[in-house]
Amino acid sequence: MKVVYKLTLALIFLIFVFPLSRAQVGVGIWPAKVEVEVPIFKTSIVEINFFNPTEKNVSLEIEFYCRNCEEDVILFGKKICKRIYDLDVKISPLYLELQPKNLNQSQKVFVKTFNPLFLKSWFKLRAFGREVKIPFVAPFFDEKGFEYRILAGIQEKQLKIQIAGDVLFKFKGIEKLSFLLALCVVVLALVIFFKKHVESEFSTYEKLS
Amino acid sequence: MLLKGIKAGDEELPVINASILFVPYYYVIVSEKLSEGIFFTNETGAAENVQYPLTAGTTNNNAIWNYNKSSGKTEYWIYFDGDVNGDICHGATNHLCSTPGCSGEGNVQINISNAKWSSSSRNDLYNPSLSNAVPFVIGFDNTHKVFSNLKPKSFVYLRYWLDVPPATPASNFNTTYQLRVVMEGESCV
Repeated sequence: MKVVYKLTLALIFLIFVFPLSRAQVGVGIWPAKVEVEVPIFKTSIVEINFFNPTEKNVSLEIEFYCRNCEEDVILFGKKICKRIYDLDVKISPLYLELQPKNLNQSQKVFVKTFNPLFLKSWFKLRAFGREVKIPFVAPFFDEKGFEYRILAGIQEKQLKIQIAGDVLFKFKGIEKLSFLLALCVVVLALVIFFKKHVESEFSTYEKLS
Repeated sequence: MLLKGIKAGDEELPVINASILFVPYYYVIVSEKLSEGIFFTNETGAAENVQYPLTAGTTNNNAIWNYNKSSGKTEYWIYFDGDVNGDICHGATNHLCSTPGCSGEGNVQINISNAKWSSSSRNDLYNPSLSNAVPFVIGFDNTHKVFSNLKPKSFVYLRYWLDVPPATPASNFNTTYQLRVVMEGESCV
């Protein structure tokens, strides 16, 4: 694979060129950025690889958070509340031990998500001097992107070193055009049904009279 | 390549084939002295690369390895490599304290803004320089990045200084510093 080839070259560079000492610490990530489509009612999994370019064992703590799951709800140009998406995104493991110079045996973290189409969210607003959270579940149209940041941190005595990777989950929703077409078909079917119903009622009424 | 089916319990998850032509990767290596922590010292200690308690009212106290006594160069550096450019941010988790965990009797706290850092791609007696120093913040300083648009196979050199406010008891002041590396143009927070 291209990345493994590049990493091997990087390892050769490190061994022969870079003055590695046993006390230096370091960590690497690939892919550092990735986009994943999540079709309706499907689960998607992304692998993020971490490697250790140094000669010292490294303990990694993995954290993650959504960067755009909170959005302001604006009405007539005024912010009325916040909408917070509550997505089903899981990451594991949250702790990794990296052996020295494991560029070709990187360790993986899996990020898993599911697209239920009906996204759960909360409306957060202040009412009567208190913070109120109102749950809300709704489908969405076309596509919605949620950016997740994965942080891998090394805690040294008095220094914390973190590297970041970004995962963009593109949740597929109902296609607007298909939805409109389906709506037209339903409306047409209802009209035809109603028309036939009225006609049959009318003919029954005519026969009776 | 990146996405594939795995078994989660009894549930067989779908295989998703993704075609990724370019896989961004990067790594960082932090120098031995920087990974040990940033410890400030007085003028004598700076010349000897040894930590001594700081005196109240003194300014621009050097970190121990700001100037290696034999080379005059800083021993605080970060090496960056990969196939993308990167940005580095700096910060601290807490204010500076004289006791571990900032607790206990006799703990003296100094606001983190009294500590400053400066970065450069050059390493000599004049670079990184005090004239470009930026005060530390709690969290990460996304406005003043240590380095933006850092190219692969680059070194970033750092120096640190601390001002000790007047009427502060002589002590060593510590906190946990933090560095965050992100891809070029991305926010650190």
